[in-house]
Amino acid sequence: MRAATLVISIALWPVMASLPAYAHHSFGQFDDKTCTVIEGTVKKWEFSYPHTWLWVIAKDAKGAEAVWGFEGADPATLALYGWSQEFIKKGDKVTVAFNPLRDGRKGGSMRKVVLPNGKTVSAQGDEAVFAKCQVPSAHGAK
Amino acid sequence: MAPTRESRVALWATAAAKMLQLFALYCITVGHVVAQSDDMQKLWMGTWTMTEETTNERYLACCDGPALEVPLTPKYRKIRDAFAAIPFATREKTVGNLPHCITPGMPGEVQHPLLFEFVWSPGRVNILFQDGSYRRIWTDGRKFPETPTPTYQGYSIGHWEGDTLVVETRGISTKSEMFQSSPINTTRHTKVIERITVKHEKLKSRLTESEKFLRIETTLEDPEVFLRPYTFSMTFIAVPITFETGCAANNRDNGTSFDLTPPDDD
Repeated sequence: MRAATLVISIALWPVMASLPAYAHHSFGQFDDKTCTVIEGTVKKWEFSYPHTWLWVIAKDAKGAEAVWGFEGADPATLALYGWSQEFIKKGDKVTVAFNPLRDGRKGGSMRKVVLPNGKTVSAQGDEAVFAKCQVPSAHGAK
Repeated sequence: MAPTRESRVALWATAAAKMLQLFALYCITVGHVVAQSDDMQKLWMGTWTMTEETTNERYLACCDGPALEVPLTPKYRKIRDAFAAIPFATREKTVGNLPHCITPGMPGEVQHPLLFEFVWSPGRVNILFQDGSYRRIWTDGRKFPETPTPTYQGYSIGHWEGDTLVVETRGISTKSEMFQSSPINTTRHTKVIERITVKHEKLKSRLTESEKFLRIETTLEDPEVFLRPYTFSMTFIAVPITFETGCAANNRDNGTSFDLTPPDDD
């Protein structure tokens, strides 16, 4: 799969919109002013507590393939949006928009996911969570 | 000899007390029967999740954003204000027990958006939570122990008022969370009263529509923390999923860094 990494600078979202769906831990480790978009293949989807995790095999900007880890909201919150353990399957081609880890490792706080059917879903519950982090239509978002 | 006024009053008082005892026994028996009926248990069965609106309300309740009107005493208002002054994203770590995979305890336990379910056993209603915690609510008519051993979930006694389970909890550890992830813990004076009901009415929260909803009206009493009893309401809907309990199984945040070791394939 062609690697596609796009970094979008975004304005700081007003404090009132910075309400996390669930505050199991601080989000200080994530750069909430940067939205990165990456395409890849699902290695594993963990509908787990205290947070869900999506593991995606993707290439970075230099073309090197690696496993990326993305943290989603807790299962109780995502259940309201129809997510479950069966929601994403191993081998699914997905596009993920996320706030990257500040330490530069391959991972981040998952915001939006474009599913194989082209549908875009929020991985944090409310759309207004933290900064707006969207998948551009060029990446298959509908 | 004709009975004196005092003896007549005493007689009436005794009779009234007996009647009250009988009424209480009737309530417990009828309530127990109602609670144990298949229809009732079926209505309460399932996986419950907090609506988005309640999640946000409970998140803001103590410390973040424009706090709801919680009647905190000056001492605890000061603690709240100092915590609220730190923007969420720049806090080094979230306070509370859950980041350490320790149960929030009561009353914080029910204020976190954790999936939970009811399990029925004779003389007891149990609540199993997604973080692996559980509550025992005794409905067998027992009294509180004089000095209950403090525990995270406290000692809960419930009774039925029609289709409402009324629960009182005392004996809560001072390590329990008073709110969802806040710097305010319970004290040895904390008392929690809950009125829990399930309604067979449709309710939609975000993308999920449920045929029924559960409502908990909670009153927190603690003269050290609150100026007066603090009451709030929470709503939960049933979702068609099951859950596995446990926190440590996939807690990848050690407080300073995420563990990004990929999981094994199934």
